[in-house]
Amino acid sequence: MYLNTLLEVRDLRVYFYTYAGVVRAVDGVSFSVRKGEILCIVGETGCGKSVMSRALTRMVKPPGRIVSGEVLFDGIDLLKLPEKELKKIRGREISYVYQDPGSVLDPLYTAGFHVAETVLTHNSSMKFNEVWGKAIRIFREVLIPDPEAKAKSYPHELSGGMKQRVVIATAIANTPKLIIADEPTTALDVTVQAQVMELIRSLKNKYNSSVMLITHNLGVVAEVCDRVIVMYAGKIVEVALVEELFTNPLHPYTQGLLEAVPNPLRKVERLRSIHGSVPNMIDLPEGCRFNPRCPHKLQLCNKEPELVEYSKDHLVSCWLYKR
Amino acid sequence: MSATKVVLKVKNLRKWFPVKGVFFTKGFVKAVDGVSFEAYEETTLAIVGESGCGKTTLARLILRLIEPDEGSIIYNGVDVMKLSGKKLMEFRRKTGIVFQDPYSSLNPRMTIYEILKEPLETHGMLKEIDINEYLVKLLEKVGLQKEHLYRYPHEFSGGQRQRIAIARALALSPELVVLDEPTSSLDVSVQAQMLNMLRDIQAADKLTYIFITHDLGIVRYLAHYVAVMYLGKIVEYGPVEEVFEKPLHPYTKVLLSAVPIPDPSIARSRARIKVIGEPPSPLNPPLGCRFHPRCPYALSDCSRREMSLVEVEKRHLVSCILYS
Repeated sequence: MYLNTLLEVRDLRVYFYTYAGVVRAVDGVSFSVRKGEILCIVGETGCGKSVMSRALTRMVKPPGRIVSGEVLFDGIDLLKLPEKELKKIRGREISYVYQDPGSVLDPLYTAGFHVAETVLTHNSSMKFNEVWGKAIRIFREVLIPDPEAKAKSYPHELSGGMKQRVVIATAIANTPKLIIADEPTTALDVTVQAQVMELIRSLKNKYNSSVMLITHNLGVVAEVCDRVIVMYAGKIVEVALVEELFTNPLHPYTQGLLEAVPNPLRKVERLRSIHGSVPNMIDLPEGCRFNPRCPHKLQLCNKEPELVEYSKDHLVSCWLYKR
Repeated sequence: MSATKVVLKVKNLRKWFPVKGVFFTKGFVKAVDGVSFEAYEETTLAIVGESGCGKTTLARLILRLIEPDEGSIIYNGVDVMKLSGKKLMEFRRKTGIVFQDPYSSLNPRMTIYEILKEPLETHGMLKEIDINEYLVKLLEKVGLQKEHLYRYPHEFSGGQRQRIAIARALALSPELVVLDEPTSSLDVSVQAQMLNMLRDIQAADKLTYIFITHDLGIVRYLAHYVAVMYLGKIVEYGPVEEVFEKPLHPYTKVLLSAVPIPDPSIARSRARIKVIGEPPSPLNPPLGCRFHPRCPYALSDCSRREMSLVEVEKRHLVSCILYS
């Protein structure tokens, strides 16, 4: 464990027991989040990135179940903590920002109340007036114009970007050590997306928090992240610092992904696409899960590769790099 | 692109949707408000803009799926607005559309065979062709096989469904295909397959595409011409390379500088033009230039004068006071 490690996940497995079979949504994932970094989790739909982020504070609903693993946060295993203790961490030490701000905010309460409630839950000795004042200060911090008036308005009176700022305000209300942002800008327009990303980055610097950013947009990854984890079908295939990942991608899936995204600032003659489609999570291919789509398939690929260190801070799970 | 023949010419198209109050109409959503452009033969015209700028309404207007309030649509020299009966059928045969969401655009109770056969039946083309052979060829064109013919839509993934929707649009061998965000619900690896396929089909069948999207990367990759929309109006129109290398309208500049670039060395070193606020509601768009409240280069006159598109360079048009 590094000195500057905030959160360490070891061999996390989350399975969903459905009628059709067992969905191994997260299958043996190990990684760490360092203090003060923005860590991106990238992957396509259904690769388990959202489920994994929720499992960190045990927010998996049946038929899903955390089968095994450890989540060490400041040395405490969150998966073994009693629910009462975990509630003190959720929302105070670790907070979440979700994709769709419209469904996160309760339409019956004002925007300011959402923030005030979060503060009050973890500081029950505070008076409501103090808490309301704090909510308005936080609103100012997330750059909501006219915070006094906006705190009294209801979610339906706010635009999409404003709502997401309110959600971010609730997430930072208790100055958490870790903010988990699950596709925070997917529902927003590009110009607003840039504003929100900028906000998340400046808040992270101000509070020296860590951010775990879940996204499928490689552009967002390149813009804001420090380190990147690439997931495919419930497994981590590659971990690297962002410049390293974009200049020297190792895993064939990462390579394919990077070449499949059209870049608006550069004309390419032809995009390289990854052949085939994401496997059915109930009936996964044997061995490496990418092998049916992989252009460099070897005999060995029928066995499962491990995530190994290729160079400093660069891990890959592929037989091509087995030495 | 050397092709210069104008296939589609849209002039001053307008569509306002009324917002009903209890007794009176409260106002209008000015979804498309005076849009003019041209599309050239065998090229792709991309229409880009943020959500709510009227791109989808425009797509439907072009094919007369909804009736415009005003304006004209000239297709190969014929005014589409004046067509009816057989002539209108003929126009419908020559045009196709692919919708954004492949989950709601395919009837769940019909097999793929029935879905693809329906347009042929409607246009009375079953007599001329061997239906089975024709449909298998059609499926192969979009990367599916003949065993897929008798399955239902729920048996396919999102990417495959979109292939079926594309096959349906191509069933009548159209000349003009409108693609309304065909890849926005797909994953990147599947999206790349789809974009390559669309490009190959265009080259093979000599199609003209109108491609509606909000993804500037796709525009750069696929399109020859681009029209940038903001709140129901086209603010800039021109050849893709020119618009991306030398954007003229402040909104185009802002859009290009806000879009995340999948390359950290560029993404972190480029200068950003910051823009304040969010797109206003199309119900009460700002007076004058619609972008002026957010524009970093706004002049005092911008709130008073509404500009129209002016040709600055050959086929490069912009609607901004700075270039008048």
